[in-house]
Amino acid sequence: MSGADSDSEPEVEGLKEEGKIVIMMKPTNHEPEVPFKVKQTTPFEKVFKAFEGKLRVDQGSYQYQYNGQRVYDDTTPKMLEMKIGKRYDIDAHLPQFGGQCIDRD
Amino acid sequence: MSSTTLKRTSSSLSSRDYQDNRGKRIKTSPEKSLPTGGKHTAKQQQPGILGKMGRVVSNFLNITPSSSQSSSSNLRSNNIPSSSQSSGTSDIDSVLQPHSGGSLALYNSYDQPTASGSSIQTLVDGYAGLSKENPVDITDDDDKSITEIIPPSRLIAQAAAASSSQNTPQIYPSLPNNQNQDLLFPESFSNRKPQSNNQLPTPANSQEDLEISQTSSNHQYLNKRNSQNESTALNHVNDRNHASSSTTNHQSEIIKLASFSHHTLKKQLSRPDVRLQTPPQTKKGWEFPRNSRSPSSSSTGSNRSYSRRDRKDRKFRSNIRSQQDIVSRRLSNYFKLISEASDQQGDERAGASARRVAKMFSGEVKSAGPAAEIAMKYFSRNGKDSKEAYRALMGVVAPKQTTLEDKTTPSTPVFSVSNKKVISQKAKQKAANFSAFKFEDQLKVLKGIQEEDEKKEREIEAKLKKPKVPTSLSPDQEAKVSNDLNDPRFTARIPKAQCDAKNIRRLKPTTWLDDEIMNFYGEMMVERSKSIGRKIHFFNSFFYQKLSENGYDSVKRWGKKFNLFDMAAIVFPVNIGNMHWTACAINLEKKRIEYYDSMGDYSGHRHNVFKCVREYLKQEHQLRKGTPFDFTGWEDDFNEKTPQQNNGSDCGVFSCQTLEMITRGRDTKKGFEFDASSMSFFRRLMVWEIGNGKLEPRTWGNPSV
Repeated sequence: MSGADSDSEPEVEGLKEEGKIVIMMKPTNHEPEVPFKVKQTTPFEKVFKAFEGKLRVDQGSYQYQYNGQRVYDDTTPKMLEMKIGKRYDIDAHLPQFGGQCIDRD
Repeated sequence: MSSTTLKRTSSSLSSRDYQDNRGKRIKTSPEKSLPTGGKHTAKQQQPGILGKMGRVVSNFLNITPSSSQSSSSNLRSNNIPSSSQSSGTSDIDSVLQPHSGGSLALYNSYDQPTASGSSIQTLVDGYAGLSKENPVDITDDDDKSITEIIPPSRLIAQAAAASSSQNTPQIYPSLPNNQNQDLLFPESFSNRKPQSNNQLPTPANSQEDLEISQTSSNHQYLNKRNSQNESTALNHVNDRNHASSSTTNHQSEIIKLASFSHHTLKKQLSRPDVRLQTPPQTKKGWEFPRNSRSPSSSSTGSNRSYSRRDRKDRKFRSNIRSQQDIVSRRLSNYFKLISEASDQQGDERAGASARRVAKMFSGEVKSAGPAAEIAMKYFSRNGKDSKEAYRALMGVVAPKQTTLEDKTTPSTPVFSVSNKKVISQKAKQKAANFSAFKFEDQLKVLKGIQEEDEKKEREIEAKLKKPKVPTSLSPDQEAKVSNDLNDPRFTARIPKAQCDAKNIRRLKPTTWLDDEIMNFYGEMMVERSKSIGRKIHFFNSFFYQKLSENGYDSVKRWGKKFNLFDMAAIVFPVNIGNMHWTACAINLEKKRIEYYDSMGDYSGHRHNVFKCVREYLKQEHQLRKGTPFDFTGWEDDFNEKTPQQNNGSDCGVFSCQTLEMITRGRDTKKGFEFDASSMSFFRRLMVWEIGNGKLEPRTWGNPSV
């Protein structure tokens, strides 16, 4: 399954010995990506706070998703079936709005 | 010659005179004059008429009648216009013209003895003259031709007779001439006609009568006629003072002859063709047949000629009458005769019955007796009118014969006014008895049908008009919605989505919706689809953002945990420029990429959507299945019927409700179930649903879930 291979997350050297997971925070608004090393049982709240502190934005400015799935504060990598020694991407989305009022712009 | 001629001429003539007159009268017609005239040898006895004859003959032979001056002068002295020098026909015409003094004067004029030579001599001289004057003509014709016209032996005989007649005293026939002139000028009978009318019973319908009655009446007629002619002849003779013993002898002989003749000759009356001189009035093709007589004869026509013409006309009319009528008439006459005979014999009862039968045949069925009445009733009961019934009766009595009427009238009914009337009346009667044409019944049936139709229509209209979307929630729901909207600590969470107070307030009127509500609503749809057994996948609002901005690789892991191509539909909201919400659905069942925009086609984004979705499908299929996606049969469907928003804030609600409809299983091609008027309700409903964490069953939709 080449598709599955290409679809699988890349492994990071030395992480397996540490027993950690690399979380790559990817903001969609052209902000720089920030990687974090977390344990499997670490809630994402710490990652999000660190990320927001790094980017110096208010808490709750971003909405985080993993492969289209919402990632909440209390979610742990184990709940998202993240495996040790691999790098995972977490999308940080700014909220979307829509109502179509041309006059507003 | 028939008995008519004989009777007429023989009234006051000897048989010899009769013979002469007969020949003479025949000679009045120029066509017959020569061949028949040569037979008679006694022409010399009437030089006046013979002279005329000679002229006629000579004129007929193109001989200038120079030698017949004597006879012509004779005529000229009697106030007859002298036209003897001219053609023979005009001479005859002049003779045949009505005499001013009547037949008597003319007769007197003819009574004058003439001393001229015999006409035969003139005839012979004429031939000689012809040969002298115009030899070329004769030689051209040969001698044979002359002998053919007049055999020489006859000419000789005639000449001899003429020479002998000159010695004998001229006895001018009184009555024959008179008779002749009378026949030539029928108006001269006018003074005698009423007499004869009074005296003589004219046979009625002699043409159609039975021969018995005809002949008997003819007998009577002839007798009386002859006697009357005799008496008038006597009168004439007395008046003229030319009477002699010889004439009276003649008369007595004539009486004998007449009484003999009509016993022996029983032929039907017919008149010699004296009308050859007076040109017959030819009937034009377009003229109606009428009892037309010549103007001269119409006023003072003799009874004979009148009746004869009448008969002739009647004969003509009888042809167009039906044979049935003729037969019935004859039968009735016959029975009348029988009744008369039986009356004479004293059998009154038989006579009455015969009369009754006769009446029955003549059509007077009212008094025909009970038997005929019964028969008439029987026929009329079978739907026949009186005429038809009578005919049927006749058909019973006499065998049916093909008549002219049957031939002329076609058996099949043709269009005519009377036929039309009868047919329409019959049809009306038939229709009145036929239940299908009873107006009231049919009206009832029609009304029933109409009511049924109206009922069905009302039901359909009620279904159509049934508010697809209710206008408001129930009171307690409304209260909860209001509470949720104003609750700062409101939070709703389902496994894959979360909605907080700041998000739920986005559902207040005239506010824009954000991704949280859209995704929360989408996740609720997926939850519901699981419960109703539809395979639906919902991509959140960032799917399209990532796909369009970063390409397939950014979303390639989104379909990792499920088989996308096994789904019935994949739905996702599309956020355009953080400004506008639209909806997109990949309908794998119907092979459509559906795109819904409540603002027309916002910035022409549909092409981009279709392009991205196709790219995604292609890559995804390649990634998951290892084969390129088969796009045959796939179409990009931008639904033009999408309900349009009437403000600047409801596009998210429109998108949510559209996707909800699709996930419910409704084909959007069949139309939408909501429009802009129910948006306020949907906002409150969404608050209720989000607060409940569960979609409300769509009781107004189809399929209703």
